[in-house]
Amino acid sequence: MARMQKREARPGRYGTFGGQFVAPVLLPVLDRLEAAFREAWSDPTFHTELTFLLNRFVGRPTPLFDIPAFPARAGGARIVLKRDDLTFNGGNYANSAVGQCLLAKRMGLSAVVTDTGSGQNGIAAAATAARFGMGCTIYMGTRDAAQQAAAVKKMRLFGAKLEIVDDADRALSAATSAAIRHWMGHSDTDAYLAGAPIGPHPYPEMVAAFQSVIGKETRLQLIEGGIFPAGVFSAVGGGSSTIGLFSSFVDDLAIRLVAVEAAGTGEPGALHAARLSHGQRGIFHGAETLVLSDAEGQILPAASIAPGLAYPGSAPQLADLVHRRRVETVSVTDSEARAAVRRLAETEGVLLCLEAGHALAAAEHVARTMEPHEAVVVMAPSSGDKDIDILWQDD
Amino acid sequence: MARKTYKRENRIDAMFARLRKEKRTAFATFTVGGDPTFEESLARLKTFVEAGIDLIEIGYPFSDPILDGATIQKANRRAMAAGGNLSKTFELCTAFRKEDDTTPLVLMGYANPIIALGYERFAQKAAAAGIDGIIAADLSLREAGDLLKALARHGLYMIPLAAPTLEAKDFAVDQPGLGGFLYCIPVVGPTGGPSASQDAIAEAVERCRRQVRLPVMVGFGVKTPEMAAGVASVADGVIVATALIDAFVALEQEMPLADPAFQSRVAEKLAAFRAAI
Repeated sequence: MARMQKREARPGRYGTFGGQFVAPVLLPVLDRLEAAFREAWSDPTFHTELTFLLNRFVGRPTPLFDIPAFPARAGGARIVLKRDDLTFNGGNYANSAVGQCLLAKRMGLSAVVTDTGSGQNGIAAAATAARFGMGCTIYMGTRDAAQQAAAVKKMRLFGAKLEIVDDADRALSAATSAAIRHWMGHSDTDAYLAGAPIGPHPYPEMVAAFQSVIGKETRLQLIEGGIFPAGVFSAVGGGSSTIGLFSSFVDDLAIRLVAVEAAGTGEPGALHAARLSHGQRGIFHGAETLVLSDAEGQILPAASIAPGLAYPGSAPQLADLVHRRRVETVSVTDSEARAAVRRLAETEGVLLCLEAGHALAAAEHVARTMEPHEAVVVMAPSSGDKDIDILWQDD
Repeated sequence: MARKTYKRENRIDAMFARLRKEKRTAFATFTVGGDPTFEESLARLKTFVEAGIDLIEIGYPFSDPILDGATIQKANRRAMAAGGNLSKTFELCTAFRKEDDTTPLVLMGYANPIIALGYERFAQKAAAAGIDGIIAADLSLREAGDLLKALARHGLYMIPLAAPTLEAKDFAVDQPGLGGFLYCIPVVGPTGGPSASQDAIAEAVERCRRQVRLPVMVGFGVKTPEMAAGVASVADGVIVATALIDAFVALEQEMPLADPAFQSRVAEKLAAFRAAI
């Protein structure tokens, strides 16, 4: 055992993953953030305000919802959705945007800077910053901005300043790098708002803490409903909803935790986003984690029909949970995810995002192998409104 | 900081010892290995030395140079497009060393290519290529323990970076594998950004000197020979990167790389800085 734990315990380490791989100029900024977060998290008044905003501004708690007509054939386990798609402004991203803006305000900062892929984190940040009277700068890749025109308009309506990044993959990865550069030059006034539990310590811990509300609610609702789930499924982009949901079930070893990754088109040799199952250990965006990278250590582009899943890095906590075999990974193709979203809409009147379509497709596949008295939970991070044009393309 | 005795003295230490005797300040520059091509890059390294540059930082091309501003990001892309990467940068240094065994070479870049190779293999290959030190933009000393051990085994230094807001414990660490000089960054932000005032630079250098016995070199935001002169009056060395890359790119718009006059024009640009330092 001692041999496995070669590295000494450091803050922000999840097994051998995590850490603080940043420009030295950011270390004091991260230290200040960590201290402020610990102080706030132990302050009941912070929690009172956070809970109030989560309930009244974000729209929590979100329900668990059965979808009996969805499964393709009779038999198999019951599928239950955790419906964060019913929150306002940015789906589950609103949970941590509210938490981080509250913290930034408490630290005396006047603005936030963030990045967005699918547009959801940007919307959550823009809306929350507006609520707090804070400035908000959002970086978004050219490709994502073109695909998510409605999200772009919504962010601007909330008064955010949008910076479109025509660099590298022209998607989330390039936007994140640009946002971090902005933050390095403005860390005395701006808080970097992380959309996902990625990046240097304390971001993974902090975002996971703000997203843990999903898991806590779900656990309580399952107990109230008399359901003991056989499995919990969540699609992995940055990993915010996945960590949020899994956090309450990690110690229940009888419950399978399934991280669903984007396989892209599924054609041999084509780009994908399955870095938890096919990535290699590396250092990316501030942490040691599993990354899509070549033998020379160059970061490879990720691809998925779901903009929120196309990111080459992963949350260090998830990398560790996969490494320890507590979390299973499966991959779902673009067409399987789209088919699942469309069939759910047609059979149940619920339009989920393409990210959730990946989790739904994987859950249905596994549920078929289970008994009817069993149940699985599927995370629905946000609604499918943003993906209407992509869903519609093949008609 | 402690210095260990290796088979040969590290070229960075030798350079500073020589400059101290000559009462001169070090002039260092930066180029991305393989930008715009392998051959041009090699020719540029030679020109640097002929123009009086004392130490060369060589960036190994990386897909995501997060600490760098637009100029160096583009240089990374050009080098990658020409097939550049960490392995090719080792080859470039090996080729340079065939003719020059004196000028210190410092590799500069990001952690992922290093970890992909493995710390020990990286240090071994870097030493074999005639490299004297490394600057890893996103590998803070908090995370560098295993890398430092590997570097120390091969007689290489990791150059500590000191930003104005950084606590001494995060740059003034005394352990094998750390050395060469202290890279003092007087401004907060990516490369190629705004410059610090002369007072701020002097204050930053003074603070570094109180904490560390290594020579102090200043980089980030040194854009003109006049600014370089100001820095040289307070520090042991001046690092000019973005301003020179911009000058080369501008020159490429004026004349083809193959023009025999190109390298001499490059040398003129460098000479203006050299004269001021």
